[in-house]
Formats: sequence, structure tokens, C-alpha cells
Amino acid sequence: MENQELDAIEQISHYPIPPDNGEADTRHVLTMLARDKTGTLARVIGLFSARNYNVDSLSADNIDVERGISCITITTRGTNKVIEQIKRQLERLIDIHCVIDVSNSKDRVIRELALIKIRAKGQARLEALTIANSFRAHVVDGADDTFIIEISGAPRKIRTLISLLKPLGLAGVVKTGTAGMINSSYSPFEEILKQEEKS
Amino acid sequence: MANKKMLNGAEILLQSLKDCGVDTIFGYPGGAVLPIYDAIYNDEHFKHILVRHEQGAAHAAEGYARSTGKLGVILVTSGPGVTNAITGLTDALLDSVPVLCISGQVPTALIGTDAFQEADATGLTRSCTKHNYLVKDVNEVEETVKQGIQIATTGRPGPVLIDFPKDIQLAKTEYNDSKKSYIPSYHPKAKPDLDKIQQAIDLMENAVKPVFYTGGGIINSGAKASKTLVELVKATGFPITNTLLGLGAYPGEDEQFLGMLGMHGTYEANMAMHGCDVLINIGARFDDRVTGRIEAFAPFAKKIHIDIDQTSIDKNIAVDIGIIGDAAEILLEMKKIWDKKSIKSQDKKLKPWWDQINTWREKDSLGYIQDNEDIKPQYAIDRLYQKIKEKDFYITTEVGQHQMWAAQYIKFPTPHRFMTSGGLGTMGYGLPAAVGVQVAHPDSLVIDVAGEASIQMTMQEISTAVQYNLPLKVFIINNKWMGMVRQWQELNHGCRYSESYSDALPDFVKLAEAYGAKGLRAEKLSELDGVIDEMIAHKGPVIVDILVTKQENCFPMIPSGAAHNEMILNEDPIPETSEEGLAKV
Repeated sequence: MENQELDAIEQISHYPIPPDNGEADTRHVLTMLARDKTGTLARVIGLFSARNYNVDSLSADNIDVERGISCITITTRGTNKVIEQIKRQLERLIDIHCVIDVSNSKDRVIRELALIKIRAKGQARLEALTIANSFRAHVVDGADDTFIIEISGAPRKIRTLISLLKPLGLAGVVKTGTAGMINSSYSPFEEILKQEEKS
Repeated sequence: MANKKMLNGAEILLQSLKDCGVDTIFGYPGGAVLPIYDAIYNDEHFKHILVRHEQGAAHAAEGYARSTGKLGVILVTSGPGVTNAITGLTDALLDSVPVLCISGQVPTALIGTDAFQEADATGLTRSCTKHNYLVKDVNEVEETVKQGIQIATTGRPGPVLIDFPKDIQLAKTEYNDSKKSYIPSYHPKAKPDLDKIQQAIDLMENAVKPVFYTGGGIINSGAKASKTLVELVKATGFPITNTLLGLGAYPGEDEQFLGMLGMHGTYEANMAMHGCDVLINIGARFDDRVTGRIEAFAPFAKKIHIDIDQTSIDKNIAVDIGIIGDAAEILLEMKKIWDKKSIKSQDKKLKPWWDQINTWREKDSLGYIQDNEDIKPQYAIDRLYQKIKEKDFYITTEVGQHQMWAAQYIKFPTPHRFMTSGGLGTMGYGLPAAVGVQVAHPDSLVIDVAGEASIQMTMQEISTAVQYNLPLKVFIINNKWMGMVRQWQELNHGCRYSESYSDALPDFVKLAEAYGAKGLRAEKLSELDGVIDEMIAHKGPVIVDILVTKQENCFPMIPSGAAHNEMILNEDPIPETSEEGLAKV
């Protein structure tokens, strides 16, 4: 919307419109360690929808059954200010131990896993297999005219593979969502275990 | 231990509440909470206040909590019981009020079957509570209740809901009497950063146009916070303004107090905010009713923000120094550093700033002219204040013009005296809140300053007041309009008064009498003082209907999209109302 239009809305709405400083959105992978309780994931997702934040990717699973700790990873977009606010809002949730912005570290490892189904015969099938091979994807199941390949890697690599396979008979894609980790000496998971032991 | 007594879930709930110091419950029975009501029947410890609607229970618990600093507890049934309570829970979330809501639920085996009076209470309240629980095992009841109370009352306080299926209320187990509730991922009390406190003091020491802007966080932090705030403000000689929820944290009649700030704040408070060079925000959240246009908010100021909730910092307004922690703790530290530095008197340095503030004060932005027999609403509230100021009084309000006038004209000497719905702006808050306040302070003078529109939203709670002989007073400023809606339609929508006029109103005097309360009315100026005196003197609940001038606007006002230094004052011309605008009235 034009500035004038926004001004006019602000004039009547009686709500101040936050100034736009022209900063572009960036993509961030946020990893949370959470208590594995009913509704924890719903709280996280509810927070994103209630506060108008984006969820581009989501994955969640239990990482320590005995102690009831799960890991939730969300890929989101926003200005630095918005990302900082998202982190603080998440950390305020009672069941969240900590939030780590994986994208902020140079020593990050970000991976996804995808299963890709191809429906192809003859030359197309050969071509698909060659491409898959060159991406170090491998075939995990096959049938008469379809087969499934599995690939893991950086999200961009997987996007590229999918786009290359598209004209050759792409019949389905399932992805796990992003997983991210920072390779540094500080480990939040160890911190939590230590804390739990103390009390 | 083998000889421990077996209790059912309902009894364990009550025992846990008792152990946490709860003795008052606001509630309404229903099918899914009957075992709890059965347990209460046999328990002399609890004072249960039967409200007339669950929203009333929630607001009453808020009034109880905010006037005492203690936890407010409500008990409602499943389905409509809990959906009715939601407005009150949301109100408590926005205004950071410690409230625990126990809701009944259908038996565990029936959850998800669309059973009679089933509602997904935890799903519905996930975004309007600080935290919530569904108890699935009787062995978890005690821990859940104690954790819930810990969450509601620590850090930034807020509402917690515990959904309690009927079969769990009836199942039996032993009571553990555990003293400690531990939530590994919950860290409500951050240790404040001492370096940042030092930096803040340095900024304050060198300020020439400083102002304190403090909010409800001071009151929530407890008596020590208010006391230390007063000491620090006195030691520095700085001016101070309060938010709507912060009123009373600093004595309202003190000469360093500039009054409330924000959309309907005083001219001097808002001009000081606009002109200041150092802004010290403690326990306020830069709400949009306070900031006005964001780019133009305190444009010359270095901003210090102290808040217990990390999400408040840099959310609406970017600040120079953000300190996370408890207000009392940080204020004590600030006072200590200030004293230790033996900073010499700031009076001379601050004199030009105070001179400037005093010229703003001369504008008398709360001035009004009471010139004939028609009662001006401002005058009615001013007279009310004059007559109660020496007494032990508590004020609640509904939402609208009367609320702002109450905040402007009534000065609060101490915290916990003013209960109003700030964040959510809930019409219908005041009367049930007054019920809760009066239950907590049976011998004090509790007055709900109301509007004729708001009061009808929870009117039924006057029946609760009569039942428990709560001598609260409802002081209705009656102009027959939804006054604030009318005012915005006048200022922003071309004086087209769409659906803001109440062409039919009850006779509030007869209504009071129908409920078994006393009804009084003042129609002319000469009747006003007598009616207020009679209201105060009466030993039971009273509804007072004050018929005031109909077209009065609430000023001063920061109009839409404007900054603090662009306020509209009472003397500024306002548009004429056209015939067309009144066509549907």
C-alpha cells in the first residue's frame, strides 16, 4: 500500500501502524527444546498463528523419552526485530526450555529428508535414476512403473533435485521438515540435563 | 505411609488450594463440577461466592486479586461454564492478573464424543491463559494445582486454567502434601543485569528533561516496589506519570505526579513524554493507547525499559537500555546506586524542565465548565472523589468515557485501589470486579464508576451483592449514549451516530429495588451532593443513576494517528452534529 493510504488508515483506525524501515525478511531455522507434554506443539503453532508469524517448515519429535524432552524445529521468516520477538515469545511458553536460532551460527548444519516417488518408464526412468544418483539419493522401493528415492541434505539441494525430477514423472513428495544443529562446545541439551540433575 | 487417608480428586483439589493459602472461591455450579461442590459443602474453610454468570466470577476473581495482590480463584462447570469465563480470563491475561480457573470437564472416556456440555476447554483457552492443563490422572491433581498456582502468581502474573474431568474428581488417591512444585522449563525470575542498571543511572544522572513512566508492573511487584519507586522519584526530583493500570503506584496528589499519560492523559504528562531526554519506563508495555504515532513517540529521548517480561522489551518501541527483572528488585538496586553516588541535588539542573512542565500544567487540561443545572459527568466524578478522598476507598470501572474520567479525576494514594479493564477494555468488568473487591475488603467503601451501557452487560451481579450483603455502590454516569463510541463517531466518522444511542434504558432506581438493593437518582446539579452522601451512608448495595449532559466528550485526547504533542483539548472546536448524523438516533 502507498504511504498516503496507510496514513489515511492510521488516521481513522485509532491504532498506530508500526513504521516500516525497509528491512527485508530473512529466513531463520529455530530449534526448541521442549517438555514433552500434551499440547506443547499446539501452543507453539498457536503462537505463530495468533501473532501473525509464518511457518515455512515444521518438524517435531521426542528426543529423550525417559526425561520427556522433545525437539521442535520451525523455519520462519521475518525482520531481525520480528525474529527476536518470536524467540522471546517462544521462550515465554511454560513448556519451552530454550530456543536456538540455528541460522545465526556459522557452524550450523541444516538438513532435511525427502521421499520422492517417480512414475516413469524407459528413457525417462533411466534419466531420473542418473539424476538421483548424482545427488547421492538412493532408491528405497520399486514397482512396475513407480519407484521411491530417499534423499537427505540441505533444503536447497532437495528443492533442486525435485525441480529436476519434475518433468520426468514426479508422482509424490514427502518431507520431514528441517532439522538444524550448531556444532559448538555449548550444548543446550546438556545444560537441561545438568539442570534437572541439580534439582 | 499406610495410614494415609484416601481422598477423591475433588477433595485433593480443595486440600491443594488450602495449602496454597486460598480461602475464597468465585463460582457457579453445574453437572461437571458437582463432586467439587459436594466437597465444598463439607468444608468450612472456603468462602464460596455464588455469582450469576461465569464472566462475573472471572471479573470478581480479578477484582479480588488486584485489590489484594493475592490469587483469585474461580470454579466453573464444563461447556458453557468455561466459555462464559473466557472473557474474564482474556482480561486477566492482558492486564496480568493472577487468576486460577478450575473448570469441570466431561468424564475422560467421553472427551471428544461431543458429550453433553462438552467443550475443548484447554483448546479454547490456550491463547487466553498463561498456561493451562487437562488433568488425566487423579495422582496428578495435587501437582497440577500447585504448579498452576506457581505459574499464575510468579513472573508476569496471569490466568491459568485447569480442566478437571468428572471421573478424576471422583477417583481416589492419597494426598502427598508436597511442598515444592518444580517446572524445569519455567524461569520466571531473571537476575537483573547490574551493568545495565548502572548505565541507566548514568543516563538519569545526566538527564536534563527526565520523566518516569510507570505501569501496572510496579503494583504487581508488590508494596516494596511502590515504596521504593516513591523514594527514588523523591531522591531524583524527576516528574512521574502513570499508565491507567499503574495509577496508585505513586501518590496521585503528589506535586511530582503529572497524572495519567496516553490517549486521555493530561496535557502535562503527554507533553513531558514528548519533550523528555531520558524516559524511564518501569513495568509498562508501551501500549498503543500510550504511544500514539510510533515514529513521533518521545522522539528526543534515550529510553530505559524495565520489565519482568522479556517479550515486552523492544516489542512496540525500540529502547536504548532494556532490563529484564522484577521491578522491586531493580528499583532497590537503582536507589542504592543513586544514594551511593551521592549525586548532588538535581533541583537546579531540573528547574527549566519543571518550569516548562508548570506552564503546561497551566493549560488545566482537565478543566471543564459546570455552568448550569445540568450535571457535567466530570463534575459528578470530581464531587464523588471530594466526598470519598478521606475514606478507605476502592474504585472499579466499566469501560468508556466514565472510565477515563474516573482515571483523570480520582487520585489514588496507594496501589491496589483502582481496578479497571485496561488491555482488553471489557465493558461489564466493573460491577463483578467490585463484588470481588468488596469480598476482600468487607469494611471498605467500594464504588463501581459505571456507564449506563456497560453496566447492563453484567447487571445481574447486583444480585450477588445483595445475597452476600456486599455494600458496594454502582455510580452510573448516564448519558444514554455509548459515550466513547459516540465521541469517535463524532471525531472520525463524520458525526454519523450509528447504533450508539440507547433509546430504551431500564429505570435503574426501580431495577435496584427489584434486586433488593437501594436505588438513587440525581437529575439536577442541586441533587448531586445529597445523592452521593446518601449513597455513602447506606449500609447495603446501592445503584446511583446520575443523569448527565449527553454530548460531553472526554478530553484531552490524542487523536488518531497523532503524537503526544498534538492533543485535542477541551477548548478546541469540535465539528457540528448534522441532522443527517442523528437521523437514526
